[in-house]
Amino acid sequence: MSWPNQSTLSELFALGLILPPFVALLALGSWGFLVRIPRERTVAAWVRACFTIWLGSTLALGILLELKSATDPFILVSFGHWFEAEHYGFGLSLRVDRLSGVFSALTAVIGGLIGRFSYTYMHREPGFFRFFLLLLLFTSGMNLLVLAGSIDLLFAGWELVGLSSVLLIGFFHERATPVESALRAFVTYRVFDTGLLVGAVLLHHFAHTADFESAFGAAHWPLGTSHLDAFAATVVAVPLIVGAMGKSAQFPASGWLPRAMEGPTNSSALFYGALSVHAGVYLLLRLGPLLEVSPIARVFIGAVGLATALYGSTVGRVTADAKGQLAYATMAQVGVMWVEIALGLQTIVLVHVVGHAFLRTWQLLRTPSLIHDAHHAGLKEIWHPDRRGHVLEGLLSEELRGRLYALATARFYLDDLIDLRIVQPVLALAERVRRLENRWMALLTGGPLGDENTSIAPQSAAAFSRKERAPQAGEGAPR
Amino acid sequence: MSLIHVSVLPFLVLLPAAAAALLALGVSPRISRAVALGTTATALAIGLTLGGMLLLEDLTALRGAPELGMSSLFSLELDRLSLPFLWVVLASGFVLVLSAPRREQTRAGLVILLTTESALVLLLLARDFRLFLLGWFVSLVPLLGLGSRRLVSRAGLVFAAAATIPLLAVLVVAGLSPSDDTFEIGQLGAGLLSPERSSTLLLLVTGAYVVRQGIFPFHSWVRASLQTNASLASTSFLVSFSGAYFMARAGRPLFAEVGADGLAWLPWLHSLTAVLGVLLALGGRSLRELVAGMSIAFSAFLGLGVSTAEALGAAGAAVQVLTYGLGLSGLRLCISSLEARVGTTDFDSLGGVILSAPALAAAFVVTGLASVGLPGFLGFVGEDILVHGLLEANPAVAALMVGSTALAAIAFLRAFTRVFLVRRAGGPVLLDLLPRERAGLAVIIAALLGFGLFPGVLF
Repeated sequence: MSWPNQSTLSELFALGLILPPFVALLALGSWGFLVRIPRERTVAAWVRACFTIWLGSTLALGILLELKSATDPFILVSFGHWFEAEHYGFGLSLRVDRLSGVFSALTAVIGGLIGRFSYTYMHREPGFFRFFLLLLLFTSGMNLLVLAGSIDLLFAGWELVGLSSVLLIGFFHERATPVESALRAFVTYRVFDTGLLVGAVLLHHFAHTADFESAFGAAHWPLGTSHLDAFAATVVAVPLIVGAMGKSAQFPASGWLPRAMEGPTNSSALFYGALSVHAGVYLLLRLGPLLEVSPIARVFIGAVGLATALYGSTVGRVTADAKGQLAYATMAQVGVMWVEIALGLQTIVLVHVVGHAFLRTWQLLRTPSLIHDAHHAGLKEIWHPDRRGHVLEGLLSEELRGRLYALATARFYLDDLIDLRIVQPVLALAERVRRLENRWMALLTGGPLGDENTSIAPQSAAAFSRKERAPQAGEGAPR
Repeated sequence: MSLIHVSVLPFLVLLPAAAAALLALGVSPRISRAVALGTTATALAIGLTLGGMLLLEDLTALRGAPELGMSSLFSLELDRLSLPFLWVVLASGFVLVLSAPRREQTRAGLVILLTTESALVLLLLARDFRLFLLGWFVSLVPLLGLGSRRLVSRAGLVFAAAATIPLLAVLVVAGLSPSDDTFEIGQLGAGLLSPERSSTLLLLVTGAYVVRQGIFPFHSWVRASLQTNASLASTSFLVSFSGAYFMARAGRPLFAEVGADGLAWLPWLHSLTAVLGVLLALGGRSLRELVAGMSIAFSAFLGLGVSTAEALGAAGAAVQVLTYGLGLSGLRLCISSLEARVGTTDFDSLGGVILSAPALAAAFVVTGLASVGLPGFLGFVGEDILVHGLLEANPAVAALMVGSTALAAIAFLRAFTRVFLVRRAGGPVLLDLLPRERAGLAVIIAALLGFGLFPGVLF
């Protein structure tokens, strides 16, 4: 019996990274929909098995990567095409290099950690099952995102990460605020993701490929050379940067991040402290060769990052709640990472990401117990007012400080402006179109066509077959 | 072997028609439902088998009934173009009968549903334009009661006439051709001596398509049919996207012959319709209005694909036929299940439905997101291909489509949050989905997911 060769092992371990969360998600989801909600222990067993396989596969791929060569640390696993139509094909390839390896390991370690933490933290919560389904959806998406060998596959992972993030922000769906925050995040994601989709299509158009390997040359991260000229590189890079802005909560798409703290603390730590918020940074790091030939794109990244860092640190200083402060601090740090990317300090960014992810995870997981500590140890024992930054404040005049304070407490009116100039006009237009349409239909049908025609008497309880009785009091309790 | 003859093809047309006739004779409601379920299930099984044969054996077409000695007028054919449309019609018929609330499954309702299914299948399989016309006319029956709960209404007659008159004119113009294949639907007008006549034919085909597909300014029938006359048959008619099929079958060959320059406005009309649809979905005040707006937008997206000169766009549209057809059927089932329990789908009357009906909420959100391109489901595949195809033909229109899809997703999730989330005082308490309702929705979700994960079987 011979040992499988390195290529077969790579494929096996790559599948070990990608498949387990998908399989667990499908199995648990189908069981929950068609049969009944599984018990907590069953869910935990599936999740534990997933993360064990995943962590093992990550370690194995890391070892393979090291064994391969110190000068060429790169494994490309291709499974052919997901689908092909006419001359177009959607490549299904996974890429393990220094960049994706680090992000994949980060995802496995922090994901596993949060999974274990959540098992206790979410115990007997009505949404226990839903939380873990969404955790699996997120890890599936994050895996695809960081291991994707093409921009198309990266987009698929990107969308899954966004959706799971939105559904977790609205986890406590009985209250209005989390639901509104989730909707806000979804709108931001969806609008800015359009940039990513357009960028992906433009990469096809200019580079005639979606594979990072073909588009960015044979050398591997952080090296690599784009074959596109400066104009094409800029045209492709700018929409992709716009896509990254949404996920990384960069100015002016930053309003959703503090609101996202409405979700469970453990998911906030995973998404907005550790992984999801760094997805935009990952994309920009991956686009390194493209940015090399496009100074305009780098200036754009630097400007956005700088604006976000200033905005996040200013607003964060006047934010009253702990999770909100952490959200703004995260935003500001990610802004700094964007500036580092603009300056070409890619390796430093990678170190920055890893350190920042672990720090924020710890801080966010620690937040709920602050109240407990304050209660038991006394506020003075745990509260040490931060005196740093006062030197900088002293450089500003009192009047300017006052104005800045007022602006910061109003979050620079950013969300209000977006609501006033974009959201409300679109909704008003939709309402106007609806009214016109109703009038037109009334003209055609000779009667009103509106809400009054759509309501019908509910079906009587007896009309339902097996088990179809009238709803009893208390029947609305969630299963 | 590129083409084989099969004798079961006519059964796809005759079986639902015979069942409809049996039901019309008068049987008990219970037997009616059993007959309808058996018929639609058998038809779906035959359709899946034939489709599987076509795809797995890499055939161009399956042809039926030539051995019966009938003239070419009655010749039927199933090819790769008609296959996704056929699967949608058969699958939606089956799940509607399986899972729709009992009160919608009256004997009359089932008779019309089966008749419509038979007519739609005839339309999709007919090789001769005159036979196609028969299917086209008969399948318009559910539209006749548009805007009212009656069988025939003024608006219904207007729309039916608008969809029919251009086709009668097509019949006349195509009849002027001296060719032997005058009425072969894929070669309408072949051999017409004057280019003007061919252009006229293309305009007439486009006219009939625009009305039947619900493209602006003829989009209103989609909204009216979903809001007031949402019978099982009208849903089957809606998701068949037979207008798009007609354009792909008869219009695209004419593009090649005449040139598409005269129809340069068509992509913009589609874009306008798509934007209008998503605005109607966004401004809607009930789930019915939401789904109506999304249907209009989906019709326009399909239209963009089938009317583009790029083959990639047409391939994307073929995939999206399955996505939108199955997705809209699923959404329609969720809405009618909800309405059967609480009597309304208005946002102002609902809220927190997920608390008492989590399975209904899960089915609704998964089906809806699958329709707007959630990765892993078929919609992602179709949207990706369609956008790439459109980009090659018209980048501005492709950008508009991407924006419209994003807005459709926002409208959908906004509606979901208003109906299913946030507990409100006095909110409805209802029973969750019944096993038969879950089964129908599970079939739809499994199909969207299965084809989404393994889309290669479709190409």
